[in-house]
Formats: sequence, structure tokens, C-alpha cells
Amino acid sequence: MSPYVFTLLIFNLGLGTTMTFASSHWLLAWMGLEINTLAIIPLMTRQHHPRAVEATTKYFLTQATAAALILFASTSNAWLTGEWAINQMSHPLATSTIMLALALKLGLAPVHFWMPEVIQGLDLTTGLVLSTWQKLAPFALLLQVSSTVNPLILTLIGLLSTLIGGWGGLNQTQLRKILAYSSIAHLGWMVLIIQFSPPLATLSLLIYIIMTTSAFLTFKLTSSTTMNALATSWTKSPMMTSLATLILLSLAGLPPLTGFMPKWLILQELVKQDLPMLAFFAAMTALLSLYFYLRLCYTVALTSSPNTITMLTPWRLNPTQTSPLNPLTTMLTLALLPLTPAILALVIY
Amino acid sequence: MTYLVSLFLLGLIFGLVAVASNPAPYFAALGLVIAAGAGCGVLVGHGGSFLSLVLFLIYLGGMLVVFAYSAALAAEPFPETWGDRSVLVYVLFYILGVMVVVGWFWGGWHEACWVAIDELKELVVLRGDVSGVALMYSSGGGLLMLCAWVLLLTLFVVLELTRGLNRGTVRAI
Amino acid sequence: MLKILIPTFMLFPTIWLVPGKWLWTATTAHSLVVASASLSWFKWCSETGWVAPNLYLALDPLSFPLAVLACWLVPLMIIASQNHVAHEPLTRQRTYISLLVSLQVFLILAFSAMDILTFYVMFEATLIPTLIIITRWGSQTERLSAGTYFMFYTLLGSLPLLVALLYLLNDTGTLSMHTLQYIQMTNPDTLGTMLWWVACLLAFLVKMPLYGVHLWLPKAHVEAPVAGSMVLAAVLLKLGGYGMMRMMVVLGPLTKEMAYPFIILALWGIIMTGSICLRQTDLKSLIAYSSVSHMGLVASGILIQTPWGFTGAIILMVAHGLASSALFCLANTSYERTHSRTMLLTRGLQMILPLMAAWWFLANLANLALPPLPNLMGELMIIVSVFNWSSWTILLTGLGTLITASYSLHLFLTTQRGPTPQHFISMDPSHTREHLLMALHLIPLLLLVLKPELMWGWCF
Repeated sequence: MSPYVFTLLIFNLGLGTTMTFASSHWLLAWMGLEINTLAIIPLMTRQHHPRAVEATTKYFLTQATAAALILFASTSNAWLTGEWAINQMSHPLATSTIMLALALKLGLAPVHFWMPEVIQGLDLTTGLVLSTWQKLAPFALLLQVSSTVNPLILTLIGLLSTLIGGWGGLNQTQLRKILAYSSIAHLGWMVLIIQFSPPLATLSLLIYIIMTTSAFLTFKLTSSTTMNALATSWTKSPMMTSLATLILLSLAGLPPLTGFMPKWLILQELVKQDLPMLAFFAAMTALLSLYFYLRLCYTVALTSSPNTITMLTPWRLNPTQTSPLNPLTTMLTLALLPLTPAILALVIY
Repeated sequence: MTYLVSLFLLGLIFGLVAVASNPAPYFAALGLVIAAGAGCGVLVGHGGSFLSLVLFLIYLGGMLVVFAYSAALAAEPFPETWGDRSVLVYVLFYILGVMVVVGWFWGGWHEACWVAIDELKELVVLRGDVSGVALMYSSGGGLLMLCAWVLLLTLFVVLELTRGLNRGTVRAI
Repeated sequence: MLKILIPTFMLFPTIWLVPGKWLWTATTAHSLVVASASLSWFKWCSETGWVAPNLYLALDPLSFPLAVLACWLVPLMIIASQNHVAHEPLTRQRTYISLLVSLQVFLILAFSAMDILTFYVMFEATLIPTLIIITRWGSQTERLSAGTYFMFYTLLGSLPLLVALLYLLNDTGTLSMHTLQYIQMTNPDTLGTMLWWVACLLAFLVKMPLYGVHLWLPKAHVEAPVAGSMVLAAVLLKLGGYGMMRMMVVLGPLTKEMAYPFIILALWGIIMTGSICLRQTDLKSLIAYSSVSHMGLVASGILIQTPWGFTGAIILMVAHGLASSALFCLANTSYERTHSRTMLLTRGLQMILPLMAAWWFLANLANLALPPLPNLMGELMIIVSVFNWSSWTILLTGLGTLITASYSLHLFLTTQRGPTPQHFISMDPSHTREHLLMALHLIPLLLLVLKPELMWGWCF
């Protein structure tokens, strides 16, 4: 891909998301989403691999469906109530359809099936963009409509996402699929809390983005996309692979790592809303996710797989895929929990 | 007029069934053209003549290109038509589905939602939607720029995806 | 607090900067200095109970024996692991010691936390280093399932605990241990409150472990390297007992009825796990089951909520911590020589390692609660207070004591006495390091006989 085209596409990727952020009118928000989708499509097929093309096709179809649903719902809302503003939706038909469409865009539980398939077809960098940046625009819309959506739908989607996100990842050996399921589970937590405390949901998204970035970048550093490759990857960068254990446990949400913070705050908020049983079930579904993270931990650093002599040498070479972002996000992934009060003060109050 | 609109509605449904039942690309494109034309006719019947004109032009232009392209790509000696068994099953299934839905909603729901855009009806050229378009041209300049930019972007994306046999994305492996 | 915590943190630079040749010596010396400094906590007692240098960290007579125990265990773990880790690459040795030290940090913070939520976070934080120690440095493939069992049993109990704690926080507005003892829950009889009661204790009962949810412990003990077994038996199980004592204050009137099934399970567990010990073939597994049996006694002592029960529980926790850790060290010394944990194969060691046999004897006597030792003091206090609660329990506890004595003697006789098998061909003599290790375990145990009020909790 020519660097000019690449720059143009990256610029449009940013333009789409910021347009959605900035708009208060459904039409503009929809347009931002479409620009966003259009811009990422050539980026996804950059490898020209048949799997990438297949993934792109699937992605395009789902995103186009979701965008069409959004357009349909916002138009019908305007038709029925005469209101185009995003945060003033009132008709239940429109809000439910919008919620479904946004769930499809974000890859939430009943309509999540495209997510693992698509991420599996992409390279790790594009997968990272897909599971971080591409979540932002739909999430911004979700934040604005969440107060009008039926709370039961939100809760069901959230709980189902955490459950499916944990369940689906159990039997996977492909890292990208596992990360996709982890994304589903994390977004489920955010949807659970979004009706009670939107800032908290934003904070969770932020923390999730930081954590998943370090996971993707670490896997990229060792160029591993399956558990087998991960098992032999410690020869490439022993330090990063031992940190990868902690990154994965942070994604699983174990204290004293950063990943515990959003879970803790979300559970606290749920209990504060007098929903302790919901909090309990959500916490239990986190155990399902923990299982596959734990399995990854076992392969990445806690066991040493049998190796040939030639496999043992790569640590002598400097890794080629380093990213300056990786140390930063890894530090944040591991050590943000003690800063919880400061972050709370910044984000929520 | 009612008969005309009903005819258009029937055409819309049958056109959609014709596309959705997976015939050969020729016939699917034909079905799409029928559906688009009938849909535009429905819009005209309810007061959106400018909108329907624009839609018809764009659809027809786009559909003709798609038709030509798909015909060129998938030139089969024996294309599947709606009469073939595999396609016929789909056709019957969808028609059955439409009938079920019709039965479900039979009772005049359309009368509440079926409002014309303004008082003027039928084949009058100067309509409410025209004034909306004029408003957009006079005060929505930024939005128009953006729309033009999106079109340009789409062009870029399509070119990037389809360029060359060796370097593009769509190619035989 | 900081005068212990900062030197503990400074262990990390020591570990990573000291030349490889001096790694073990330097870290042992440094951690021993920290452990000796931590003894000063014994002199901290104030009239009010709490010694609170700040709002977040404080110690009282309940927590400082356990905190001192945690500090004391680290040099011992370093000494004990020296033999089997020292042949690994230098970075891994440093990582290993770092994990042990991070455990110490988390444990000190857990025992000195003023806020129950801080305690919870630190309680959970100990999972990660322990998991890594078990699954990275354990020796067999079953260590992975042991690690999974360990994580999932503990988290299955402790996630409801988190929700219950947040519920308590929401209900009362505080989780500080200063204020929590004056607080009553509002509606004591609903189903929700009962579930809350269970959720509050379940995590600690799993961690103890209570009979019925104890399956993770023998697995973890068998698969863990010696340091992992030591810290697990000596301190991590005690986190459960400590947490229960802290929560008991809050649980209030509900406990009287709700505790029945748990007390019965705990007492029944003493008999059951003791009987399992009697016909156990695996050395480490036997010691692990003996831990479960002792912890059952501790759990029942805590659950009946009398001052004697509490005092007995904490005495037994400290004494059992030292004794079982010593037993695991001994098991490891014989494992390093015979490369087998099977008791049928490691017999008659008295002929080869006579001095070790003396240590085995002492440690076994401590385990079966010989009269002057603090183990007996703890067991007696618990048995008496449980007897006072219901006289029928003497059947269970008495039988339990009998079984404990039998399997301890069985352990000693099988491993030490009798003819030496033919397959012991060349064996290292016992090292000074190992004798030092045993001495550092058993001397404190003996010294505690002289001044037991150091670990008497509130009752002196």
C-alpha cells in the first residue's frame, strides 16, 4: 500500500470517529460511522491474504447492517417524534433498534458472532485497531442513548456478553479469537454499568483499551498468533513474555493489577444500585474468562515447552517489531490500581 | 392511484424476493432493479417525488454498473432462474414469510404510519422534499462538502480494493 | 509499619543488583534482618489494642503474631529453596526470590490493613506470586491443574466476598476495622442477609480450608516447590483464619444459627482428613491433609466465637504455621536425596541421616501437640471452648487428637525407623544449611512456650 493512501485512510479513520464524537445529530453520527468503516476496509485487506479478505467482507457486511439499522432507527424516531438529536431519543422502538445496532457494531453478546471470526483473519496491528479504536465511536453513541434504552435490555446484553465472552474463549487455541472473546466480555461489563454511571463505563473502556493494547503489542513483539507459537515465544524476549503473564492476569481482573479496578468499581456501583445478585453473577462470569487467561499464562511463561536448539537462539537477535507504546501500556496495565482514587477523582467526580 | 401504489408495493416485495432467493447474478440484478423501481414508485405515490427521482437515477446508474459487472464476472452457461428447484424453495419460503407477516399485521396498521409528506399529492413536481433539498444547499454547505468527501473516499477505497490483478485485493488465488 | 515495609521493598534492589555469587547469602541476610526488625512489633502493644501509626495500616495483638510469622518465613523459604533453585539461570533465581519477597510484602500489607477492602485486595494479591511459584517451579505436569484448582477454589469463594463487602460498605458506609465493630446490620433475618453471611465467610473457609472445599490444598502442596508449600501452610492458610476473625465481629447475631453446619463440617473434617492421613502414601500429601485437619480445629474455634476459641485459634495458627512448615522442609530434604515422596520408598532414614531424624522427631511431636508446646495450648483451648459449646463435640475432637497423634507417629516411624532400603546408593549428608533451617523453625516454637502471651491475641 502506498504511504499516501495509507495516510489518507488513517486520517479518515480518525475523521469518522471524531465526527461521531462531535455530532449531536443522528445523520452526522451515522455518516461518521460510515466513514470509519469505509476507511478501515482497505487497511484490513492490506495483507491480501484470503483470510483477510474474508474477514473484511464479514466486517463490511456486519458494519453496513448495523449502520443501516442505525439509520433506520433514527429516521423512524424522527418520523415518530420529530427529534433528530442523539440524546433525545424517546420512542421505544427506535431506542431498542439503536441498542441492537450498536451492540452489533461493538460486538456484544447476542450479535457478537462476527467479532472472533473477523479478528482471526487480520494481522495483530489491525486487530488492535479493531478492538480499540473502532469501539470508540459506537461506544460514544451508546453513552448518549443509554439513558433512554430499556434497562432490562442493557442488563441482559451486558450479562450475556460477559458470559459468552468467557464461555466462547474456553476452547480456543487461537490468540486473536481469545482476545476477541475477551473484548466481548469486557464490553459486557461496560454495558452492565452504562445505565448507572456512564463515566465509569468510559473509565472501564479506557482501562480495557490500555490492557488490550499491551496484550496485542506483546503478542506482536513475539509474532505469535496461536498458543503453540506463544509457548515457544519466550526465547524471543524472555522479559516481555514473563510480563505477558501479568498482562493476561490483569486482563482477567486479578488484584493487585490494573484490571481489577474497573471490575471493583463496577461491582461497587451495582451494589450501590441495590443489585447485589447481578453483581454476583457478573463476578462469577469473570471466572470463566479467567480460565482461558490462566491457560494462556501457563503456555506463555509458566511452562517451558520443549525446544530445538535453533529455537533457543532468537534472544540473541534484537526484536524487530518493537513499539515504543508497549512499555508504557504495560506499565499502566500492571500498576494503575494504587492510583484508583486519583483516577476516580479525575473521571467521575 | 391506489391500485398503482398497490401494484408498486407488490413489485417491491416480489423484487426483494427475487433478489433474496439466490438466483444467478443476472436475475438477481434484474430483481434489484425491479425492487428499486417499484420502491421509487411507492415514494412518488406518497409525495416524495424529488427523493424518488434522485433514488431512481442513482439506483439505476449503480444497478446497471453492477449488472454489467456481475454479468461479466459470472457468465455461466446455464444460470439458475427462479424456476430451478433450489431457488424455487427460497422463493416459496420468502413468499410464505411475507404472507405470514401480512396476516399478522392485517388490520390497518399502515393507515397510521402511511402519511404523505405534505398536502399535495400524486404527480406534482414542486413538493415538500424539494424545499428541504434547497435548504440543505443554501445553509448546509459543510455537510455537502463532507458528503462529497465521503464519496471521494468511497472511490479511493474501491480503487484500492480492486486495482490491478497482482496488487489488489480481489484476485484469484 | 514503614520501618519494616521499606526494608522489605529494598530487598528487590538487593535481589537484582547483588552479584550472582552473593545472591543467596545477601538475600538471606537481608531478609533475616527484616525479620528480626519485625520482632519489634511484639513490643508495640498499647492499652487500646490497636497500634495505628496511620489510618490505613495498623496492627493489633491479633495481627502482629501473623505478620511476624510472615516476615520470619521469608529467610527460611530462601534458605530452603537454595538447593533446588541455585542450578537455574541467574535471572530465574532472582525472579524466584523476588516472588517470595513480593509475597512477604502482600502478606504484611494484608495483616496490617485497616480497611477490609485493602485486606481483600492483598488477600487476592497473594494469589499471583503463589500461582507462579507453584506452576513455574513445581516439578510435575500436574502442577498446572494444581494451579488451576488453587486459583478457582480461592476465587470462587472470594468473588462473592467482594460483593458482600461492597454490600456492607453500601449498608454501613464504612469498612474500617476501627468502626466496624460497633456496627449492626439492619435486617438480620432475611434470606438476603443469610446469603450475605455465607458470602462473607466462604472465601476464608475455602482458604483455611474447610473440609469439603479443601481439595485444592493437597494438590497445591504436593506440586509446589518447597518454598511454596512452606508459605502456603505457614501463612497463606492463616490469612483465612485471620480474615474470619475480622469478619466475625461484623456478622453479629446471625452467626449463632448460621454457623452450625460449618462447625459440624469443620469437626467432621478433623476426623476425616486425619483418617486420610493414616493411610496416605505420599509424604507431602500427608502433611497437607494434616494441615487441613488442624485448620478444621481452628475454624471451629473461630466459629463458636468465644474469647477462648479465638485465642486458641490464633495460638494454633502460629504454632501450626511453624510446625507444618518445618515438616515440609524435612519432607523436602528427604525428597532432594531420594527424589521420591512415596513413603514406602523413603524409609529408614535414621540410619543415614541421624541428626535429621532428631529434627523429624521434634517436628512430629510439635505436630501432634506434645504438652509444653504451643500447639497443645492452642488445641486445648479450642477443644475446651468447643466442649463448652456442646459437650458431644468431645467425641469428635478427642478422636481427632488421637488420630493426629497416630498419623504423626506413623509418619515418623515410616520415614525414620526400620531397615534402610537397598536402593539408597549415594546420599548427601545433611547440610548445615538444613540444620539451620530446622533450628530456625523449631527454636521459635520452643521459645514461644516460655512467653505464650505474645500470640495470645486480646486475652491476656
